[in-house]
Amino acid sequence: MSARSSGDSLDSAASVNGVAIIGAGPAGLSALHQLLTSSQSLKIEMIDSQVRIGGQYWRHQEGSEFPAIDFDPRKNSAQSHEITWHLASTVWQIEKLEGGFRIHLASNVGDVTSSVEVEKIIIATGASERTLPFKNWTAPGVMSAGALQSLAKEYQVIPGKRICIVGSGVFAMPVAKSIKETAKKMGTEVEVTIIEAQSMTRWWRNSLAFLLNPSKIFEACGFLIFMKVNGVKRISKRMVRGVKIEAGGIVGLNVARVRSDLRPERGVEFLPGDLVATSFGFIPDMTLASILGLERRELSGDVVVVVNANQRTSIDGIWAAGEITGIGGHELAITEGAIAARDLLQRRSPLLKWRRVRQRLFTRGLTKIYPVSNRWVESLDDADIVCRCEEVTAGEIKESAHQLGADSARTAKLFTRAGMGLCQGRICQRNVKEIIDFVRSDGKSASDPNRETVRPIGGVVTLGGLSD
Amino acid sequence: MAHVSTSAREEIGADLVIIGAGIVGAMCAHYAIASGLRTIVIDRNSVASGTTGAGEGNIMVSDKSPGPELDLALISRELWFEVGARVGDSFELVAKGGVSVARSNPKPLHDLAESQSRVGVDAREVDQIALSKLEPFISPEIKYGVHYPQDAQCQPMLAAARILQDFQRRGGKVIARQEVLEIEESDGALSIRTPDMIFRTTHIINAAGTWAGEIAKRAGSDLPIMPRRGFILVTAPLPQYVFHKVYDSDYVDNVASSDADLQTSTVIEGTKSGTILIGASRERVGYDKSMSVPVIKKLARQATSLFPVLKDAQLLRVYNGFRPYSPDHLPVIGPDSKIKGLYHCAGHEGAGIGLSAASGKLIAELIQGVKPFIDPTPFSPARFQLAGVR
Amino acid sequence: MAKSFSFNGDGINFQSGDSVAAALIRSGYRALRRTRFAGQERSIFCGIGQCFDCLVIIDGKANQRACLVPAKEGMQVEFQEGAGKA
Repeated sequence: MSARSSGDSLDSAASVNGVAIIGAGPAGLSALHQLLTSSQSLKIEMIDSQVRIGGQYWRHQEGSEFPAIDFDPRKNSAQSHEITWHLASTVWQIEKLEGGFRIHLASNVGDVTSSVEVEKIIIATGASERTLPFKNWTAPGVMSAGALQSLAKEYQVIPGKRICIVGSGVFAMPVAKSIKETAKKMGTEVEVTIIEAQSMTRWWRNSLAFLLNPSKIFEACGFLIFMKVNGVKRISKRMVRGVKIEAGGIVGLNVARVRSDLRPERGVEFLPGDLVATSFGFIPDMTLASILGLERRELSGDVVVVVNANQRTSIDGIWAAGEITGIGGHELAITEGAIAARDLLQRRSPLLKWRRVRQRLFTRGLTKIYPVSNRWVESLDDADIVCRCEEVTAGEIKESAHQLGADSARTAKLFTRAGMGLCQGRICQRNVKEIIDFVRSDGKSASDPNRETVRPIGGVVTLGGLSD
Repeated sequence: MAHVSTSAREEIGADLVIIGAGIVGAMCAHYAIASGLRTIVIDRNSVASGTTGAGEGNIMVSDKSPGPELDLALISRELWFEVGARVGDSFELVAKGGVSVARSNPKPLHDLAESQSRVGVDAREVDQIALSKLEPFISPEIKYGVHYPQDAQCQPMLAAARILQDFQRRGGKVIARQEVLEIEESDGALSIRTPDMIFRTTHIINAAGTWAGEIAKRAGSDLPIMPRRGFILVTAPLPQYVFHKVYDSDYVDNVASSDADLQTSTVIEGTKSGTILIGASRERVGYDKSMSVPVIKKLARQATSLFPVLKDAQLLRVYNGFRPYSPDHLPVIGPDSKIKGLYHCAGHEGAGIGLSAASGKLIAELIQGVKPFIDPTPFSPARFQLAGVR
Repeated sequence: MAKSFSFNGDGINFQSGDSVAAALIRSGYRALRRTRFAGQERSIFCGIGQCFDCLVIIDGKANQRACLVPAKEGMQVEFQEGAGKA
């Protein structure tokens, strides 16, 4: 049922000072934290697609203490504000109205829809993990590193004994730590091996950022010590070629030595294992940005929302904070969320802005240490699946470029169905784009970040849900 | 294709240049190369990037009243299967058949079927029992129907791409990402200027669909083609609930009207991949590509009313496109009345996929100067172009 | 806290706060569904409701993401073959 039927303008009586924060992770909760200090009486709609708040970084078990006490909104009950929580709700469309916006929500099952009207929106929908395809990556027992971390931390489930975390980037270490800690709590033994594509010595490329963020040095050392003490093996300069499966179960990984641009060198080694987790960085979520038509740009290979110094987007009344403005980690997300909310309240934030400079320097520097060049495509066989939903292979995608003239992820999709499935390209679009770019002889990318595949339906909504 | 961005443009010669790599351009290319013309297809983007990329793939005779368009559609339907046989089973071409339904008053439905039968359409009235055998999941409120076995379906983007692939194998060329900036004529020779090239030719086919009017303008002519926005809803893959193209008989009336306001009718069909496509809407909103929540809701409501089982179907995606229509709702196929060598093949409104084969053949015959298989007069560009006026 | 739901007729015990996926994986189930073209077995992949690989049929409704749906007493969960049954 729609909340309003008032044509094209906001129903002003009901939504004056109405603010929506979409995304209750570090950026969103930080923004909320700031809004609650306002002397104006605000009507705040908190929207998140998960059942519990915290986003990805502050995932926690049902009933346990919230991982970041300072940002627990239940501890900040300023009575002059009205907060409405819309959890397990996905935004599937946003309409622009005279003076504000109408946000269309659906339950995770999609059969119940509602809408809220607000004057202003802070978008903090975060990022999802980037995974690259490899042979047999669709088999049960292969999952993203975040999925394994969530199974361990939230549900105390570790479905394997010899775990390989394969990929590139900083995420492998916290995941390895979570698994080891959970295993200890459960009283079980698990072996964890990290297989990293880059070499250990690349950390020197980010030295300036470390000097400006000394806490990061301690954090890094802390991880290295933990790995050592708990027997987490780390193998570097290796990429996974495929998962070996016997009698329906995973027995291990075939890995190949690679250069820093991910070009494979000769020789394949076998590493035993029964559970594979994979992570190659993060992809900022552009769903709402494309629905709204927010200006976007390319940043280190990611498409991100363009914001000004106050986290304002190209549309009046909409701010963006956190990973969607550029992958940066939870501390930067907290900073940006605060700056956005403060700007909404017309406050200045010089100290936060300096903090943002330091934090951005560190995290943007990470892309220099862990670049993911599109030469990963060379490790794919034609029969390997790239689009999981529609089971489209690398060979079919390459054929669409060579034979049918596909020159972007969008055109490849029209010819092969890659990206037309239920996930609407969330997992594969970036990879399809890189395959097309890699195989086209003119090397020219036809993708304009502002014409990126739009996802006009941002989340699951059923025809019945729409018919109410 | 290498891009040349120096000031010296690459010069390319041909007998025929087709502007537009959509389904109509592809069919024109298919028939042109068969007749021996050295042919190049150019497009400002890539294959199927215009309305063809937003189409359902309808090859229908059932939604047309007797008249020149229906005559063209009947022939085009047969030609489609010839093209399919030639190019190969690579674009999901299937004679799935259509069913036009009515809830209460069947008279308009039956009258239309009868008049269509007289001109060669296979139209079979079905009662509710027969209807429930054709479509087991249709709402029990639907009492009347007409079954049209001739209606067919394809995947339009793949069709355009495969037909052009075959065209290239036979010696044709496709050049993407070259927008037509200007067309000049002098002494029976035509030249087309694009950012990086100049094409010199004696024949041009304007198959630019919704943008055909703009191309005509750049040639110094005029063609009244206007956009009519339409939406399509796509569901998640489902078990087979819909076996034919099913639509409310309102669909036919919608097409003839020129109202700017939103008009919707119900058109539902399944696809090979298991998704269900839901249309149809018509609005005159210029080239506004934005989404419309009211339209999405209306189409969803109509769909669940016709097929209640779709209540739980998840909506995956919505896309819109612009149907190119002319003032009398008939396509424009034939020579420009001012510029020698310039031909138009555009303005097919919502029937572009279905009519493309016959349009391509007709244009090829007109260019060759042979007697065409159908009277081209109703489609002539001259009917809109004022003689002697520039 | 012996709560349970059924999966293909088998009783699956779960803890408060479990997602359907977590409970099934803890109980040792490798696969949750088979794909509609190649009949490949799939289980959870992204864990946050983005990949739509962990699809199961819950109380007759297909395409439910097991990683997002909280387990409830008495639920009827089924292995999803392809796009589900008509």
